[in-house]
Amino acid sequence: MQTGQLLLILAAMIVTAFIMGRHRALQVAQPLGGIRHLRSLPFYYAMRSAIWCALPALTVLVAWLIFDQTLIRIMVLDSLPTELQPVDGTARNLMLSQIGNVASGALPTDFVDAAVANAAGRLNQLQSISAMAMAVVVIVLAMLGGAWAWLRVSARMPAREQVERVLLVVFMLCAVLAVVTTVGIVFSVLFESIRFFGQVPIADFLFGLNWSPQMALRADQVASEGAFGAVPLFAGTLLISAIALMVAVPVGLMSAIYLAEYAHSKVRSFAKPALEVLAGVPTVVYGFFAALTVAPFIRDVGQSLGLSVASESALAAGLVMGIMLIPFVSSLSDDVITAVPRAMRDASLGLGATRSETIKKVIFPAALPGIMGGILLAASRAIGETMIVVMAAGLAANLTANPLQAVTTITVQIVTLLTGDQEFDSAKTLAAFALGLMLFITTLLMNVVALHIVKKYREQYE
Amino acid sequence: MDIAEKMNVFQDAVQVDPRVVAQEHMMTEENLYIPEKTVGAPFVDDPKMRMRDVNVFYDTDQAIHGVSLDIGKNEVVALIGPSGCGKSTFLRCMNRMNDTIDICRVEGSLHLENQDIYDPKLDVVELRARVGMVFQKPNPFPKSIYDNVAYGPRIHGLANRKTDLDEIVENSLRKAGLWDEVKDRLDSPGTGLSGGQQQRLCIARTIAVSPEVVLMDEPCSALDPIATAKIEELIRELSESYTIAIVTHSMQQAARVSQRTAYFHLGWLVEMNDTDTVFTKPQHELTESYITGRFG
Ligand SMILES: Nc1ncnc2c1ncn2[C@@H]1O[C@H](COP(=O)(O)OP(=O)(O)OP(=O)(O)O)[C@@H](O)[C@H]1O
Ligand SMILES: [Mg+2]
Repeated sequence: MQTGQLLLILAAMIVTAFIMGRHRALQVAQPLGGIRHLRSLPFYYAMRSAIWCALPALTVLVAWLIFDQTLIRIMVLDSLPTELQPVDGTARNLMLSQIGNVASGALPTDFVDAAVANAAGRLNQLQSISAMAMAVVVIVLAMLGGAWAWLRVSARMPAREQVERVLLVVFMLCAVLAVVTTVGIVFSVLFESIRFFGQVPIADFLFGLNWSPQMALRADQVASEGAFGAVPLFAGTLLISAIALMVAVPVGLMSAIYLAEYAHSKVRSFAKPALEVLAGVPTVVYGFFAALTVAPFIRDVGQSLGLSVASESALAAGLVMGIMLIPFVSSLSDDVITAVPRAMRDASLGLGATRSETIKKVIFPAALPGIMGGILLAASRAIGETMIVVMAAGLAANLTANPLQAVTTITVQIVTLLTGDQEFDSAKTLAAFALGLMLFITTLLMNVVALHIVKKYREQYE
Repeated sequence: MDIAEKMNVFQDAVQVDPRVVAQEHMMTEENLYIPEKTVGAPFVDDPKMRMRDVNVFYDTDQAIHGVSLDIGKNEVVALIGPSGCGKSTFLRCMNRMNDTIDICRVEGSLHLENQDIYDPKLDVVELRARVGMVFQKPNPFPKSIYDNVAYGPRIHGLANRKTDLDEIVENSLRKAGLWDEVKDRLDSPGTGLSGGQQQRLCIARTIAVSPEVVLMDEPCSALDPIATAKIEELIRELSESYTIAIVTHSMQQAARVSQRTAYFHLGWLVEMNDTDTVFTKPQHELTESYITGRFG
């Protein structure tokens, strides 16, 4: 039996357990005079039955799936005659894949040793036994669990408490999983970065002005120092982010002010979601918009003005990224501007201030911390953005402040370092981790600052 | 369809006069009705503000029905009445604060001396400088005490030099009876004051632009009795130089601070007269039942 089918059956059993548990609770309640004489609502008895049915069976199923292949492999290899026993890990893997291929029919039997063919037969046999046994064990366990729970339904049983406890554990496991994953990623990036800094001095990485990771691969240029200088990448990231924010912050802010203060409620109810749609456009779409429309346009305009513009320019990427960030700034700012109490507006208007004076002198200062938070979130988004830059800003690690030239960013270099055939422990690949670490630290700091500001702002009006 | 049914359909089709509905409604319960014409003496000679036949609508709901009254020079007028009767709405008409509510529409003639308040050519900025407002909840800006008071004068360009501004701030705070309490901490935020101090700060802020009329919407409702007593004292002092209209839910307060009192009911002005007369010899049953606490 396939695992998929088994899961379906199990699901059906869990539903049955739920229904039967509920039914049983109602049955128990009836002679007592209604469900208010039960300690818990019938729903909780039903949930308890479902949990008893599901948990042991699922645990065994998962454990089985994790361990059965390992066990089967050991048993298959043991069945081989001594002269065919693999000597080291590589040979073992080779032998196993050969056996596997024969077993699946990809490799005809007469191409291999008779002993290998036997082993393949044994593999198939073991696998079907294992699948069969697993199905039986899981179904029996589910039945036993469900039946046990069904039998135990009684008016005094604290089903709600038990269900809540199980749910608590489930929620906790999910939270732990999320945290552990994050921590794991951070640490793996950290360790790889440390390995990288073992090969390239950290000072060279942080302060070097020259980024050309290709050179380090060639044997004759091992000593080419400064090849991993990340300054051009930082500069490129900064340049593009700055351009993006120069677009997104004023446009986003002013549209937020318009929406929150001036727009008629009908306009607002239409324009706000429309703006937020911008945030839902995949960045790759922005990317080809930047590469195919904006970049050539800028180049043509530049040429007609007599400027030399690269066909891929920081300006194109920055402008389009700015458009992408407008909804971030405008949506968050709009929220904090509308959160400024009406009393503040009334006070200012009542003193004879005009609307724009009120916005400038009262609403804007009061909303400023929240707006700052929005801007910082947008900035960390800009720093982490990859796709638009890959497509529109080029790959050349120029150290320049000229927005008309091609530049590259940290994220783009990570992508290029890790695509293609690489040895995993080459300095080139490890450099990606170091860059990732830098990126992570920067965005983390910005997020912390942003969240802190936003929180402080919230306290002001609660 | 019999006759009765036809009559019903007919009646539904006719625009129902809400006054009739209100009368019927009142008569069934208390045998009270809203008078055709405001009872008492709503008008004075040479008024500061003159309102005639004011109707206010929120979208299609009418909140004020044909109210006419005068506010005399240097007079304190109290507006009283049950919750939802339109006191705030009427007050906000007088400096066009209702303009900030999209669905609000005002009809009738409202004059500040000879100036038509709803003249389309009128600059509301100038109007609001002449008719200031103090709100129910103290609403100082999250700025320093000094900046709170200096806000209006700065906007209207009332001070050319820093020393002029300092003087305006000090005078306003003195008039509001707050100077001695805050003179050492003019730079600390206005929001850090106590509720009563905040409300006096708001009054100082309002009088800093030297308005002619001050509108107050339940200025003491968020304050404790001691702070309330201070504000009432302040209102009496201010009435020497300003004209004041104050909405209040406390009849004692109305009696203590005002010279004339207007009683609103369901959007109609039922009775207006000298405060003493209103509280000792009300001429209309609705007024009497309100001030004797039969409803409100
Ligand atoms: N912004 C608004 N939009 C729609 N209707 C409103 C608005 N403000 C007030 N109203 C309505 O107008 C009527 C009068 O309200 P108003 O606030 O003037 O009463 P009030 O006398 O000040 O009451 P209170 O003593 O409770 O403050 C009420 O029926 C109210 O529901
Ligand atoms: Mg009110």
